Amino acid sequence: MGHQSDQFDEEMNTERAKASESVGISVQELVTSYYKDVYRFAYRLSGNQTDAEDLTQQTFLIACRKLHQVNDLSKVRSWMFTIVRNAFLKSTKHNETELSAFEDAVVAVSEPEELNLNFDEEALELALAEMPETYRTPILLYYFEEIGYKEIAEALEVPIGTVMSRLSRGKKFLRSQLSPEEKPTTDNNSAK
Amino acid sequence: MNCQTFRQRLDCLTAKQRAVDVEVASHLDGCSDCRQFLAATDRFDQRVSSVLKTVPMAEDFLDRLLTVVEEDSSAEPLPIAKRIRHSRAFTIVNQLIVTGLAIAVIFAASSLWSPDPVESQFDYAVAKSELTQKFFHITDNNWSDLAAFDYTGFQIGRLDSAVQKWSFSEPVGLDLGNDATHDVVAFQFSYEKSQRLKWSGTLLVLPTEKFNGSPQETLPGSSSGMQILEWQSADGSLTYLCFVEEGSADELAGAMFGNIS
Repeated sequence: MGHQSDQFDEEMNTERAKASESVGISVQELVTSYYKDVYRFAYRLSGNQTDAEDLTQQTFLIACRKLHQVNDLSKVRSWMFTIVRNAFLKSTKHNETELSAFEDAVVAVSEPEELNLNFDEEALELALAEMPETYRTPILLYYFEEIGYKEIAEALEVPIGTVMSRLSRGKKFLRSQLSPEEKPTTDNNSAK
Repeated sequence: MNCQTFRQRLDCLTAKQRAVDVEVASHLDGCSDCRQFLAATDRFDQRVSSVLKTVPMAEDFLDRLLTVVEEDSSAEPLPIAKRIRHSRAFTIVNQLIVTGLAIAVIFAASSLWSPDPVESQFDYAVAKSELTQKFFHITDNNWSDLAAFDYTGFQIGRLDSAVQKWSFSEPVGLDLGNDATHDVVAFQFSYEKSQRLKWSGTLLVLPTEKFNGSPQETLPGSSSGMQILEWQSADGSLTYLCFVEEGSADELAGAMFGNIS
């Protein structure tokens, strides 16, 4: 039995060693390089500091165990975002009614004549909070990662057309919410 | 590409992608309204981006995070005997639960399952009539009010090779039923011959399985005097309904397929 246990420990250590060797980055380097990006994304998804810390911690624990699956260092950042998103989805319940109410609201808004650039963080947070997760995540990836629809579709594993329509509608919604013209609401109360 | 479609496309591209996109450059060259739109949305996007990146973070967060991650990576694995015991106990309980759940699900499904999901079916003739009213002579303004196509409901896959010769706008989607998914996808199309615009109009693509009584022919047929073509894709999965605005529908069908039924 002792021999088997030693063998098991050895395998685990080999796996961990492989994890940090495969992309040439140690666990500490992974954390220090990406914790700000991961935390920011987690904060914007969850909307508060406590949940953002929990999500970030979960993300790094998962990432460190699976680091050996990543072969390309340039993809580590978007891979981390995918883990954050999955962890967030597991921690929340989804409401499809909210989605259709939001889509109805977006169809009803028109582009503001002039865009307001003086909105504050609170207003932006409120606008993002009104979006269902399926819209909020592509929008956040667009602004955080500065990647286009094709890369977002790959990261989220959803069809390109879906990402395109969500980006387009989501950004239109943000513009209308943050500019001082008509401000639609998704009427979450009635949806519930 | 009309301005509405173009702006939807702009929203999906990053600044770097826009800078090297030939279609974007070409449209912007000839459209001052869209140039203004792009300049304004660029400034707006930069503002959103900068606000989003500023978030409150506890000063000791990095230290706490490193401690947790390092503890986890140096944690001793469970002795193998314990792992096996845990694993076996879990497996037996798990199997009992899964079996019970499976029986319950099968029982529930057998009492609820209906072989013909009537709600998801539409009558093709009724749908065609509604779609004809909406899309026959559609204007740019009406088109711009339509929602971008959401691929969640059905995948259009590859259009038949004959149709791929056409140039298409970005797709828009229509929901004919009570659910949130789109049941029809529509494109504005144009088809050039000898570098001259010969035909243009609207092409609707419908998933055949959702529509009762859709045309069975795989070659486009036109109603006499009407600028409408309708046919089924070669594999039968899609039904095409085409409203020809510019050029003759019969000639378009002939040019695409050599002859027309």
